[in-house]
Amino acid sequence: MSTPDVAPVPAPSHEGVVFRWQRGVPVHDVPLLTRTSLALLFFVLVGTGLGVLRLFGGALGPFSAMTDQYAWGVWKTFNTMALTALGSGAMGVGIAAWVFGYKHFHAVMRTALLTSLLFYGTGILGIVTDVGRPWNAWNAVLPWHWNTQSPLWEVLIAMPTYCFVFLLYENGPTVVERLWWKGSPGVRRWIDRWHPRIRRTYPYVVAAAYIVPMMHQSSLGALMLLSGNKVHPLWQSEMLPLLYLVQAWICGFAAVIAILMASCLVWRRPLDMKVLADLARVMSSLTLFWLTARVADLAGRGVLSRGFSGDRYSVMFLVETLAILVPAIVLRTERFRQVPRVVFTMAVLTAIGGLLYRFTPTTLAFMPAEHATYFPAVPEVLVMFGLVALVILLYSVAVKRFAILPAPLETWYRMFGAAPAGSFADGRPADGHARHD
Amino acid sequence: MARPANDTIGERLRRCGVDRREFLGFVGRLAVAAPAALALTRHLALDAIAGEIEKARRPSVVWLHFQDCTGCSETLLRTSKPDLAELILHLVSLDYHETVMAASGKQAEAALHDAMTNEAGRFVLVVEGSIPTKERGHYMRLAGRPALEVLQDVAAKAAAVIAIGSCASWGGLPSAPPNPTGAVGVDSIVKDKPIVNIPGCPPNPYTFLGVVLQFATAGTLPALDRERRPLFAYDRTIHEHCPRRAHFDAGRFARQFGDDGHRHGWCLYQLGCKGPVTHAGCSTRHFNEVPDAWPIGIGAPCVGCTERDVAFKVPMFDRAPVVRPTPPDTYPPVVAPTGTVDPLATGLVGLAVGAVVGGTYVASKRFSKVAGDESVPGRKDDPPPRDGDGGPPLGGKGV
Repeated sequence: MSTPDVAPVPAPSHEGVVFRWQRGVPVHDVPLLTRTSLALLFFVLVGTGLGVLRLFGGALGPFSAMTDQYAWGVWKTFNTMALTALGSGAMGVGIAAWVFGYKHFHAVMRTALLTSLLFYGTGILGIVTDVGRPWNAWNAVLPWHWNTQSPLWEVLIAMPTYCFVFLLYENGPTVVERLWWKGSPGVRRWIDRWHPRIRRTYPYVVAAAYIVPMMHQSSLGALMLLSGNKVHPLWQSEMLPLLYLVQAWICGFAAVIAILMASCLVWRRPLDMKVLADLARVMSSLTLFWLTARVADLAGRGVLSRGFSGDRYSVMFLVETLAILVPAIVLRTERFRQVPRVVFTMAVLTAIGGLLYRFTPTTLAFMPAEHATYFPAVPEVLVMFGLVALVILLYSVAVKRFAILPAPLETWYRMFGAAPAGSFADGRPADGHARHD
Repeated sequence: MARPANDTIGERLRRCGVDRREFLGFVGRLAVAAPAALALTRHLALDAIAGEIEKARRPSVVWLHFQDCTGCSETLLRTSKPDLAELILHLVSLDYHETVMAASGKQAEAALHDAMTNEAGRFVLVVEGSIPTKERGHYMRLAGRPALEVLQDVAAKAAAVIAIGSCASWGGLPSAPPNPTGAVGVDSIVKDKPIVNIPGCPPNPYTFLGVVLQFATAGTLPALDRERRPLFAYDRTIHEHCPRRAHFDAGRFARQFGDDGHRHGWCLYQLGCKGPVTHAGCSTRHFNEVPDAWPIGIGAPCVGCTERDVAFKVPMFDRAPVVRPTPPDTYPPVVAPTGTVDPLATGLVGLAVGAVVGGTYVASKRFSKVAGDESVPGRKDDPPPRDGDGGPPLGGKGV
């Protein structure tokens, strides 16, 4: 690779603090496909095969345990409604970085954007697998068929728009950067000429990229609100849209922390406890706000005592609440926020609690008729696994090919040298901070 | 009021000249009107049930009134199958009951004393009304003594206590806030006797009869729920078997007393009916053997009198929460498909959950426990890098 003759760019700092994570660097010392990737690929192929069979076989019956009562199986309720919360890092961390000025969060932004794209993408695949009559699906894009009063319509339109327009746009710089390095001089010149113009659209597109998911993440809560008495009173609430939205932010932070740390573990990257501790602090504050709203809502509706009645709903409520409450309290302490093991465990626990909160009203505490039960069938479970495996597989491939996982600038210089100042790939926008949009 | 020893129900009937045909007829009415009585025996034929009842010794019953309206006694008086005469003369030996006994004054007190002495440890104490506890119980006196003391004395010698009505069960109307007399139910005072609560304002007399007959024939008390109510009569909510339930499911509600919906017999939920939260059998066993003689049947919302926390505690016209999930807003399927749980799917989900939990644990073990340790996780042999050092060099060969 021909590296232009350049001087290193100074390491970014924020109020005098030098951060270890300074820029995205591809994972370079491991093969693209490992044994783990092949195992994941196996799950992906099984899931894809079953999904294709289901779509072309036409019937849901043999492939799922859904009934007229439980018309929403795990593809919708888990892969879409629950896992897109984990994919809300782009929104949660993004708002913290761009709106509230946590500039050092930009170092983890590419990880957040990539995971969001993958979770949303597979979530949409989950819906596609689930749609009863896929050959009619194209009607959804015809405006004269729209019911604009419907939250389901809002989700249907906004979720793919967010995934395929906004998230792809936000992930664009990562791809263009690779093009700049790998492409011919002509491509480089073309990128260097056009990218300042494209950058001018950033504020508008990025702002919209925060508004759109806020709309559909709260609409997911509204969907369960519309189910009325079918949802157990511990979860059914007029606050559901708000609680779903805030929980999405929390899950987004938790997912970014946990995925980053797991990636550092797998691909041998140093941690940056300053950034991680700050992510954990924001997550814990959000969680405390969420818990206050949740408890106030339960108390206001007079059902708080049912959370302690000892039946299975109260057990689910307590497990879920503890999984959310414990990390929020532990991570209030500065000392604990500096301990990698604690931060990792607490982030995973928060994510599990958040997923439980998002998943429970859709299935576990969803009682459409007395004695009605639902448990996913084997093909459903395998497709669900396949979608999750697809997320992990694509993630592991992407971080090896693109500059996503954060690392010190020196790691980059050691591998590639530096980009010429003022070019697209110099990693330095006008304000002197590393750019990790 | 001494009575012959071993006075069984059968002997008593024969001595009173009640022939067997009449008795079988009575048992038949009992079995139809009070299905609870069928709990007495596993036999299905009438004469077999009758045989079981005949053999039972007539239980001695002492009935005490406290702060009550005598409504529970009244409901017993209004019952015709069996009527009160049959009940107290043939089935039980009602030794003391202030309202219906002929005796008064010293004679009445003597009856109470006799029952307590001769039948000590064997008689059933029925309590009607709540017991005042404030000011050492002086809000109510019985034969010159505070009610509290009378109850403690009589209950000490009883075999079992039946609290009839909401007042005796947990205070009822007299205990409504601000509860000036400190009224409580029997189970707040008597702690060492088996107590059966038969709440209601008034309760269904057949529930009472079923409990007493079970005690007489089998010597046992029925299975109870958390509020000590017999499960056979209180295991379901009014809402579950309400004759107006179809209107609830279809969304047809009376909105105002006397409006069109009310006149058409639509659901009273919006008027404050507490049926969805009230456990009682009223919706299936109406009162006084008159069809539809029960609150909802005559267009009055249920007030939840069999629930400790509902009647006299929450406003009568407030809407109750619908505790149990309701069917869908379209017609429910006639044959509701129930889901199946595939063992293989369960196993797969279990494996996945285990993998997440186990993976998290294994991964967390490899992270450092040292605060601020930013070295490469999972590698203990590397020296901690200096600030700004990129850790071990990564052998890059170009993108």
